[in-house]
Amino acid sequence: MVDYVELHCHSNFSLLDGANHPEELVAGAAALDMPALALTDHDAVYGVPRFIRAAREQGIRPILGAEMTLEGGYHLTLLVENQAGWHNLCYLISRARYNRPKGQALLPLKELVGCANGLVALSGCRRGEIATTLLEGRRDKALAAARRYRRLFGRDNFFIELQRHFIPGEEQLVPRLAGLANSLGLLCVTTNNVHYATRDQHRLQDVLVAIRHRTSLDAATHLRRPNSEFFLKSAAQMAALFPDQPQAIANSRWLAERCGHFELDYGLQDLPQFATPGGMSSGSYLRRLSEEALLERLPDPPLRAREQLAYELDVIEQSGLSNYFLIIWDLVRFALAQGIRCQGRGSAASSLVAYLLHIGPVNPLAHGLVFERFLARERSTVPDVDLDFDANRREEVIQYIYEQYGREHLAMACTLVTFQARSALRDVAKALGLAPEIVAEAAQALDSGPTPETAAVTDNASLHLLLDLCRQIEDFPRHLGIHSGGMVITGAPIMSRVPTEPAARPGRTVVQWDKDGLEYAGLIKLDVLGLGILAALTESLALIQETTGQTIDLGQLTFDDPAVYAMIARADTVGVFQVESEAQAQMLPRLKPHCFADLVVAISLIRPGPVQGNMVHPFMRRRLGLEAVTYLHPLLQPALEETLGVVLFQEQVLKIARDFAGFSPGQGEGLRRALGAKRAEAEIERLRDSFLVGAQAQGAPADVAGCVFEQLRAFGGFSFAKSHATSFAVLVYQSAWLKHYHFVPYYVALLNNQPMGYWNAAVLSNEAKRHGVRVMPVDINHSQARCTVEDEGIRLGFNYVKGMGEAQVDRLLAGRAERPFTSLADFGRRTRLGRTVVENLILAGAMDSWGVPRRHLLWELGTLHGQADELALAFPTGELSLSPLSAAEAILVEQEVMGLSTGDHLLALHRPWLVEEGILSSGQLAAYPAGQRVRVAGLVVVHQSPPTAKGHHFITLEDEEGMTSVIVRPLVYSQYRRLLHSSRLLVVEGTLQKQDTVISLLARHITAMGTA
Amino acid sequence: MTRLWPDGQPIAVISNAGQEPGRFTWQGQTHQVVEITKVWRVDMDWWRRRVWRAYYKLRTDTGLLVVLYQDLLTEEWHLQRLYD
Repeated sequence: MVDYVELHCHSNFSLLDGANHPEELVAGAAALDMPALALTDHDAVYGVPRFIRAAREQGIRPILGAEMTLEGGYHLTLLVENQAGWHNLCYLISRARYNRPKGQALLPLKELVGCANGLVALSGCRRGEIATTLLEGRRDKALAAARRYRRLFGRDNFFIELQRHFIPGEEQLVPRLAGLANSLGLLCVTTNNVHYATRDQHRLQDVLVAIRHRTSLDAATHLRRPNSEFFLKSAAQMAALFPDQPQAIANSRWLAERCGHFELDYGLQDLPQFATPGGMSSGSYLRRLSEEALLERLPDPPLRAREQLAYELDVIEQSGLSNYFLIIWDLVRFALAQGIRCQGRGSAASSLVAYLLHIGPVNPLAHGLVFERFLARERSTVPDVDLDFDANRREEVIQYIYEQYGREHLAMACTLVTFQARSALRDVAKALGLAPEIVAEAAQALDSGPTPETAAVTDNASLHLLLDLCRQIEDFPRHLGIHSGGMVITGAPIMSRVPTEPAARPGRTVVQWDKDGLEYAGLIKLDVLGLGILAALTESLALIQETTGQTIDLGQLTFDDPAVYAMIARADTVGVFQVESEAQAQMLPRLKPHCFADLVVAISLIRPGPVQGNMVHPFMRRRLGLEAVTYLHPLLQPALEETLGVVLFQEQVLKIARDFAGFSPGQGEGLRRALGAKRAEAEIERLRDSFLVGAQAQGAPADVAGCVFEQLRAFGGFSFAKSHATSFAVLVYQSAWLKHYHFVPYYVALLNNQPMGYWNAAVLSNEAKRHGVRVMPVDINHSQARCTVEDEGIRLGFNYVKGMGEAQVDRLLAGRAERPFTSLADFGRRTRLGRTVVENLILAGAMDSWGVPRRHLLWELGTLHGQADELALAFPTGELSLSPLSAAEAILVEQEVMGLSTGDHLLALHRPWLVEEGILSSGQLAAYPAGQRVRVAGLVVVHQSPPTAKGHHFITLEDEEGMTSVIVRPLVYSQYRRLLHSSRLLVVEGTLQKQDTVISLLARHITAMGTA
Repeated sequence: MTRLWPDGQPIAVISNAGQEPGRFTWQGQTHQVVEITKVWRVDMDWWRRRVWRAYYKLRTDTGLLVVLYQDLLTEEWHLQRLYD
């Protein structure tokens, strides 16, 4: 048997070129009995972590590499043989990407000098320098190039690559390449320049090429590959292709032996060393800081706290994480010293050390948090610490990190932006050159699944083809983005640790791995995130101080104010962190949270995990005493007792794995991760077997064990860790407390920090009005740059007027500092603002205080245009007769230029007509019984079609009294889909549903307002 | 002068062990392949009507220089070009 290993293979991480996920290529190679496979994406290692994981699962050896683009556009295949080779590959990719436009790479040849150690180079495809020059008939140049590469890499590390794809010209090329190799004493190796796993996938590869060149398949004749020969071929197929080159085939196996033993090895040694005082060891310094903080934060600490601290410090030190903790502590210390609000999220909140060092916001001992969720002795990966900072000041923290560790040691994690159904449809349709009506049909099919309407066109071959290709391309990486806050800090210069490339933002670089990749490779990532609510809290406190002189320390709140819980329990939560959504509003009045632990439950309950795992309703029924608390097996009781027998938190997966299936903490963590990971089916199946065996060994019947595992699988990873929910619950309480006791400054702060949260500014403004708070319009003589507290009401700031940037506001405020503006001419002369922005100010009502109707001002603006430099002249307005804007027109133009209106709610203007028609307001619904058929009108403020809702659509209608939740069943949705998405003012007729005080409407008929 | 049949002239071909054309019959005469000078394949236009062919430029013992192709979807052979 002839052994062959593919050493030149592109996955879809050769963006818009390779047509398979790495996992599919690995599966293909395994099916062909290849003992190894190389991944050689273009100038990138994006796919390496997934490739390694898949290869390990399939039992074949992963060979790492890349196909480099050299100056002159020549290709060169590089394979990693050892650690030095990996560092060199990372460096070379980084240099090739350096200073290049996004997505492009070009490596100057001189960069290869001194960076070839540990790398094996193959001469490349037809675009390799040697093949290209031979095809051009320039053998002397080919020889010179081959000698240069031989010199750079060494005779034993440079191979002439032979490929046969039935392309004209190669019948001469292959013998010439082989002859050249022979004359220089070089060896040959066969490869197939694989771009897809199986032949039929060449179609997708053609489409990707067309998309990459922003053209159609028809217009891409010379860009596409001429045939479908670039698939993963078996040893037998390669032997048939190269009967004259058996040694070159055998060499592929020999090279695979050489390169297949390298393993990525990252970890703590890659972090910079934190400078401790007096050269103290990291462990000792962390111990000293923590012990000092223990006495400061927990005066007279209980023995349990002392023991926990000692235990954690031991585990941290043994895990080599002391230095890591110090780096994080330093960051938090900097932020707090600068007055930048911050707190840790995620599993770090489980650590007492983190709490003592102000990294975690809560004492984990007081909330039953499990340290092992953060750090377990046998855990192989380094835990991420995620820190949230005031969104407005996060950049200061990032700049501090740059200063501390140097730009060459720091890069951001990337995000891989993938094709989604919509983007795939647009791009694939363009490649296929399809008519707009077919694309529209396909869009409809994507939106609502097969319906009677789309069933009629399923015979259409083009539509079939389009949908099939879209399905294949969905989830493919399309381009790179930058992670919102994930930073990688390395002790050695980062570009030799992992490839980097420029980010879109000037001065920033990203590493070629996203957060999952970094985690898999074991590179430590530090999440420096910006959180809007922290900015809003900070601004609220400043406003309270400014307007009342009162200084509030939110850290002193004790989470036990019944008035705050009462507000949350009646779902008066618009603007409150995490519990303001429609789903929360439906749940809170039933849950009736009355303590901090209830807040933790509330925000954990409305998550896809508990929803998909069917945990929500059993929990609510048990909480309300409507059903007994039971356990599938007594061994589950310790893990699930606190949540009435249902799984709500990620930690419970660990506990169940331990108590029920006898898993070690490390195995449990592995299970939790696999359940939450994409493409981990094989791993889950493997863990399932261990779980079932373990559970049965503990005495659980097989069917019960299977049932428990299925519950865990359904629960998945889309859930909160209790530690994370606990951190967030702190912010829930603080924001609710501010809403309850300091509504106006809190709402001002919310308005100033949009976009954030669930509701937009218009809803927040209406909510303020419903709370009896006066919301005053923007006024050129009263407003400030941002919204302000004025006479116990909210004064909108210039930040809400379209076109009013910092420079415009500065000019306005400078002009106003002299004296108030008295007329449009006066305003124009002293501010010299552009016509459009003045028009927006007029339409926003910012000049209403002069008592001149807006239409007059607009007309006057037209006449003033171009006279800005002239002297102040009285302008005759007396004879002009223009009808003023109607109330409804005023609201609409305000919404247009500000995104909200301070006037009456649009529905209030329609109310007399609605009353006449018998159409109810949201406030009236409580008086009607469940099951009653009613009609309600409102402004659509939210649309939702969560994937967990099985085709149900949810809308929220707002009127002047409040909001109404409307449930639209799939059939009704398909009937009214177009109307729902085109009309914002709707009348919905439906059946009233009531659960306790929670009201919703099950839609039957929907009409646009005005046609009802 | 070269004669070209864009869609090809259907012909009967006997393949050799390597699945390449060994001999074929055209206009009642059998032609033995003596040399294959060029081989290439196309797979295109799949979004309309797929064209998947293996082309062979070859010489025969009868002195012909021709281009044959096998339609890889139907496995039928065609003569496409005859060189003078």
